[in-house]
Amino acid sequence: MLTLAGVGKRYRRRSVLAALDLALARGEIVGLLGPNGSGKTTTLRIAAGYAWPDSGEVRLAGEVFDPDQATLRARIGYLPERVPLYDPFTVGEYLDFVAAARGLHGPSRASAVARVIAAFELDAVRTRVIGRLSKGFRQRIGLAQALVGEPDVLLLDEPTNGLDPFQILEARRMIRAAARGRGVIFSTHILQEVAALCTRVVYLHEGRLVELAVDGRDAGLEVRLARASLDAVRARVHALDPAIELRSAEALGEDRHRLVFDLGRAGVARAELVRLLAEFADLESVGEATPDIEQALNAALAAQARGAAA
Amino acid sequence: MRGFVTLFARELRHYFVTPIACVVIAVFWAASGFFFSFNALFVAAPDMVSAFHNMSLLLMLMMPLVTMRTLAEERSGDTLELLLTLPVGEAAIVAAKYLALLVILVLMLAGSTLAVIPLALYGTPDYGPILGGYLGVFLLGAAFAAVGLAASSCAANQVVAAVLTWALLLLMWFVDYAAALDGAGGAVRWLQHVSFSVQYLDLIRGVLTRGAVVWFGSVIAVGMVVATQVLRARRA
Repeated sequence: MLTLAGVGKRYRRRSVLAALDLALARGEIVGLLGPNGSGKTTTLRIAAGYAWPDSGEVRLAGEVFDPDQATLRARIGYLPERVPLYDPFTVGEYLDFVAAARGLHGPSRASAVARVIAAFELDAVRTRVIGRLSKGFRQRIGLAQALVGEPDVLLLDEPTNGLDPFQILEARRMIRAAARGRGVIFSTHILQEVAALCTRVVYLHEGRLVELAVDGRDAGLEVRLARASLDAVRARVHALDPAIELRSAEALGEDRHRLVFDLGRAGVARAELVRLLAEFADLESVGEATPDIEQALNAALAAQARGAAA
Repeated sequence: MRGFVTLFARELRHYFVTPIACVVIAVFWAASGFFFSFNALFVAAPDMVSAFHNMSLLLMLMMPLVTMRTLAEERSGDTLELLLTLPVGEAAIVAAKYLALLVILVLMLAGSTLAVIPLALYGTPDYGPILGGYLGVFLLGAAFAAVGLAASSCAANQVVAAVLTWALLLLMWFVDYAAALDGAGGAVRWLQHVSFSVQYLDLIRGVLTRGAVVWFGSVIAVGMVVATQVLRARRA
């Protein structure tokens, strides 16, 4: 649906994105993680047509998205990091303006506005001036404008930024509902946000994307030990193969008999690893490990650190 | 230009949901009325040439107050990101904003037409030069608006946009003074041709020369092109 291929972007001398590849399919909610300044906003701006890449291309439904393709922008809903609202306007006037600018006229415009007002529960404030509304409502209006006209792709830049915990839960519910039938990319710093919403997670590091394994699609290996010292086994495993890495260091605290391996990174086959472990300890059970988002992120960061050191 | 009508309607509405337009228009009417009345009662016989002269100076003072928000406010309020990701082109955004400015300009000048009533009641005015004078002042104001729009596209702050516009307008008003410098040589004629203060003298007498129309039309065109290109550059 939306494809960024080899996208590069520089601001003055600083390279923000370097040959970034990202494909978004219908029904996907892709979480875009990364530290401040990693290029998340730039990625979304390029995907939304607000900024243009220095290299590479953006395609929407197979068509190249270039500066003169204004019509393609109607198929993208975009919520920037700072919600773009006209404070003197009422909620209804603002959403009506966005609908008209998206090329909707007459009854279809009225119904498009009515749909988002209902979806985001804005009916009570429809005639209120935006400038006098709370942050939660302002964020809702921002989400609503992104969805006016039923765009195929929804791009959300830190959509829950600055909201209180209750508003965050509400915003998540709305994003989940909004994602039906379209592709969504959203950026955030909050790992729980990603775990709660996303079908896929990518981590932006030094201008490149690293796909994170979540949802058990790239399951690791979880080994529970009946006896023997965990530390000894760990040391032994390291001694056997330095490439094998413990993914779940925090498990050592509460549960000293649990080891989690990232098979993809360990460089050994599952059977081979189990055989090696069995030589040094009594294995109680061996099963699939589903890494959570934090473990996946830690693994990706560790791999990058190794790559940089090499 | 896709989205032009929508953007124009929004822009015009924005002027009237905030007090900006009403205040500027009211002050312009009051000031131009005051100068006309003062001139008629205490200085000389009432005529529209001096009224147009005062209107021109008032426009130079007040137009930047209207134009300063056009694009600078969109930028500082983060709504420029919304506009540039909607399916509308940069040229449509600039043209819509410019047309809304012209509507404000027409409303400013419309109130001043009340001055013609006493002239008609107590004399026999020649309406041709008056109409020509209004067209001339409108052309001058339209050029000010284009300069202000271009300045607003370059600034992220409305005050900076206003000050930049005043600086540009003053420069273009007094540029012919440079002709008095030794060594101006062949540039004298050119400097006088591009000076607002030289060009407007014919306009306020109701004489629309081809040169003046071409010059002010060029200023308007350059202002709009600059604003459009600055918006395009924002995407880079």
